[in-house]
Amino acid sequence: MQIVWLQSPQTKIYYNASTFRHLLDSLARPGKLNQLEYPEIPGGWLDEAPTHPTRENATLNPYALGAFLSLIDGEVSFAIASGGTWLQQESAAVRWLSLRSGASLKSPSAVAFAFFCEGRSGGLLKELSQGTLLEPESSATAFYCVEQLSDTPKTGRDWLELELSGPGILHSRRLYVAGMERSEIVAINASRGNYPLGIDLYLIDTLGQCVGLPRTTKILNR
Amino acid sequence: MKQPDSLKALITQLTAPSEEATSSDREQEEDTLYNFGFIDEDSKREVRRKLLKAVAIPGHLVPFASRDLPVAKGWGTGGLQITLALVKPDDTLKVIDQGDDDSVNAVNLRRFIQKTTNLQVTTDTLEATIVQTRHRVPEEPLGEDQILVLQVPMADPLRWVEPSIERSTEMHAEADYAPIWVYMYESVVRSGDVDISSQYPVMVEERYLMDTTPAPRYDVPALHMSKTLYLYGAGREKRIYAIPPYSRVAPLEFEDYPFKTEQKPGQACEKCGSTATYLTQHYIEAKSVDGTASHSATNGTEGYWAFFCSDTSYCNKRKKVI
Repeated sequence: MQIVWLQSPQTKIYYNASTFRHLLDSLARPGKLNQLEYPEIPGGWLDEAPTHPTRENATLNPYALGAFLSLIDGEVSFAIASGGTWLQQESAAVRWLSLRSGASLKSPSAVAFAFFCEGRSGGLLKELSQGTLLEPESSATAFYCVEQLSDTPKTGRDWLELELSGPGILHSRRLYVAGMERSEIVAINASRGNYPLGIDLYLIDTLGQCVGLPRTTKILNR
Repeated sequence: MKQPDSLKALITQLTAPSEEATSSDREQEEDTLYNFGFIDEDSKREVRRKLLKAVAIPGHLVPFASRDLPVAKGWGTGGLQITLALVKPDDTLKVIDQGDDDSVNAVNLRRFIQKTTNLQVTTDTLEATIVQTRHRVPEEPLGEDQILVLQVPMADPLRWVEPSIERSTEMHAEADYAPIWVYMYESVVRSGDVDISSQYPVMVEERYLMDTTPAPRYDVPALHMSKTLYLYGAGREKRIYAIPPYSRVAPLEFEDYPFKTEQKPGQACEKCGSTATYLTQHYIEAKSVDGTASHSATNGTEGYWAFFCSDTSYCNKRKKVI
């Protein structure tokens, strides 16, 4: 198929559109693995990306950063946590995200988007807004950077086996996650016990595979 | 201050009106002055954020800042904004109005989207990755890789029983849907059956009451456990809502007055002979002897009412096979 580009094919416009479709599909079909594009755009908007705030010589997941940036702007606020602590305004990661998006850092209970640099929140998930009955859509959306995601069986101590069910899933779906603690699943389930209130989640691994877990998804830790 | 290239080009053009612009100049102008998908990136991002929340809370009305477009509100701007926020260059788009690819609303919206995105367009439901529609679900079953975008004139089904939007929002929050049941009961008492012809209210995932747009009752069963993502946009009312794939969608009904579609046995499309599609009634004018349309049929054919498939693309496909 021939594509006629209105703008230069490399612009962020197309990256944002493509990334959004993956995020939408991930949330509409919980547990389905969607491969995100690598946010490599000439002009380098991901250049000088901050390093991992609490792990030495480690980078922040660029796929997750790109997806996060594709949704935030000056109209919304965000929070970012690493190692079980919320990062402050002077943190390099916060300044980098604010500068590139125009979004502001706010207290966790007031933000629309939260970014966890690892596959654990260290109990911080419960600080995010679950919305209200009048405005359940005002709840937060959280991104977790996990090590690996798979839809084929994996064994080993590093892997969690999750059984998912709910809207978007025909019967049930198995998801295997590495780099996420078992206690985090308990925290996630606790955040969605009062539907329609709840927090919507994305898990994104180091290879750019993305899974959505909206508040309607029931998660069973096998 | 440094001016952007697009602004420079525009200033040059405006200050030199005597120079006739060539067609290649005009193409260049379009290249630089249109954003992909017409609306700006911040507006798209807002629609996208609201779409994600709508999918996460099936059937819930999510407010959004409906932008002005070069189309009047009430003519599909809600669906249009969703489509423009969704599209990527490799999409194939189909736009229909009441099932028809060639009606004025469908043609204008399709032209607008194509002009501002350069997308491929189609009339074949199965070729499309995104189908924008007004008041119909296509006859051919949609797949997992397709998205149906519906234009919505009236987003809140509680509007029939509660004119105050603040109060109806509270009723949704509390899942207080008693008044709509009373409304349906009263219609049974009044007319002997539930007299809701279109826009039939449904419960999504046993939680939210949802309007199905003025789609016929015939289309309501297609929403239940569908493979496809349904996105609804009401531009005038500034609301977005969604039904994710494989979601439970149940029309309101009484045990003794079950939900019924409007299809009647024996009706068939005059063009393709289909008895299993949604049919609309059209009056075929009387024809005079010389073949021209006439109000009277003296010595010609009589005028009559005929049924045709509402989904013109599917009807044409069937005709080709026959």
